[in-house]
Amino acid sequence: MADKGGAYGTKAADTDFRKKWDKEEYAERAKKKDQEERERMQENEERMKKGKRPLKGRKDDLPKPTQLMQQREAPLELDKNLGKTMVVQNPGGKGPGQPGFYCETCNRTYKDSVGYLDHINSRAHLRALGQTTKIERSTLAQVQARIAYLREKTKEAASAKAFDFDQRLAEVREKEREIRENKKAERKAEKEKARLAMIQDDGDSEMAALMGFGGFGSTKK
Amino acid sequence: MANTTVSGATAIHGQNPQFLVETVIRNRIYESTYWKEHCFALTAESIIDKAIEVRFIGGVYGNQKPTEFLCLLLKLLQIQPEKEILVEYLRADEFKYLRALAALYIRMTFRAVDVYELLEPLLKDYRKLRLRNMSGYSLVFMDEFVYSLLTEERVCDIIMPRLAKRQVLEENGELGPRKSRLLAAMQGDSDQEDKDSSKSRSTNTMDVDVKES
Ligand SMILES: [Zn+2]
Repeated sequence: MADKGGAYGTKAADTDFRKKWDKEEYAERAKKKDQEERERMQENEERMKKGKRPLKGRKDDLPKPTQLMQQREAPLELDKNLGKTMVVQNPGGKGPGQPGFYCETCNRTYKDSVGYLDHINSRAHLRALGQTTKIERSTLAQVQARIAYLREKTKEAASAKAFDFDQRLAEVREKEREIRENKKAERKAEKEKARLAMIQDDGDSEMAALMGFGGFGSTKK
Repeated sequence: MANTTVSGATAIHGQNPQFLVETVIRNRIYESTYWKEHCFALTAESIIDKAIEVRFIGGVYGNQKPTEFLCLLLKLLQIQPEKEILVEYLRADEFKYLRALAALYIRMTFRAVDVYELLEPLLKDYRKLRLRNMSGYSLVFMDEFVYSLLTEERVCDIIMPRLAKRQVLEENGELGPRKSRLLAAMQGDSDQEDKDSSKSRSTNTMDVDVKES
């Protein structure tokens, strides 16, 4: 034991796989970090003098947001799986396939719709999407155009509905007419059959049959 | 952010416009799913689509749940669209719930003179609106609703900011007398009433009758 030197001086071959400290690199990194921190503190001091809130350290190096806050394009369909039984693929793990609502952008899962909604409305999520927290200001022209568009759309919808109704009514009438006609034809055919049968059975009434009527009253014998 | 007032907004009645909705109800709105899901990132343009889908006006109902109408009102207070945009909402007469929303917003945020001038013509809009409150559903006419905006202290569970009396504004010469204005409008209308059905004109002038469609 003693000849192996101190605990830190060991040259055991079985620990060679461990990463060697690149002292220079780490010194460089530490220096840079200190530098950033110093700059931040200086900046914060300036801000404090102006009575502003100090900035917190930057957590991640996301690119600067390039877009204003955007409305979500598709409906969220938060209740699309309501009442369904889902198979959970990797219980206890992270990422997709977890029960709940998953945010792909941030790789996070939320247990309920409220937590999920709060997340997708949050600054962090918007930042990940490259959006600021400011909304676009609509111009009067945009508003006018939207109203004009919606006006046309509702008009179309209303006329389409009316058209549908008219068409449906016509279809129903046509069907009723057909049924009526079929019945009429049936009745006619039956009468004709009865008449023919009568002619064959009843020689006496031949004359009457020829004249187009099978006698008055009962045709029974 | 999702709940903050737009930066550069002007204070209304000396405060953050969103505070015109009292704290308890405001928080109810912030917590509501409709707010989180549908009101997020709405602009003065995209809010129109939401407003025309509204099926009833009102403040809170049931278990103090805010109506969509109320959520959209708070959204307007938050984004504070330009005055002309509100007038445009008011003019879109086929969208009566958008009009009702604009009327409420105008009452809460515009100068008294503008409130009278913009809302009084709506006293001739006799269309029905559905109202939902703690006691359930009921019907109210647009003119009734506008009248309550001009006269009552509380509408849709919101305390109306103080509104200078019409008479005072008239005496100061800030506002013309209402009667003659109405009369003129009515006379102007009755001339044309028989010739066309006044529907198309309503987009150009506010002083027209609007009929139930
Ligand atoms: Zn996210």
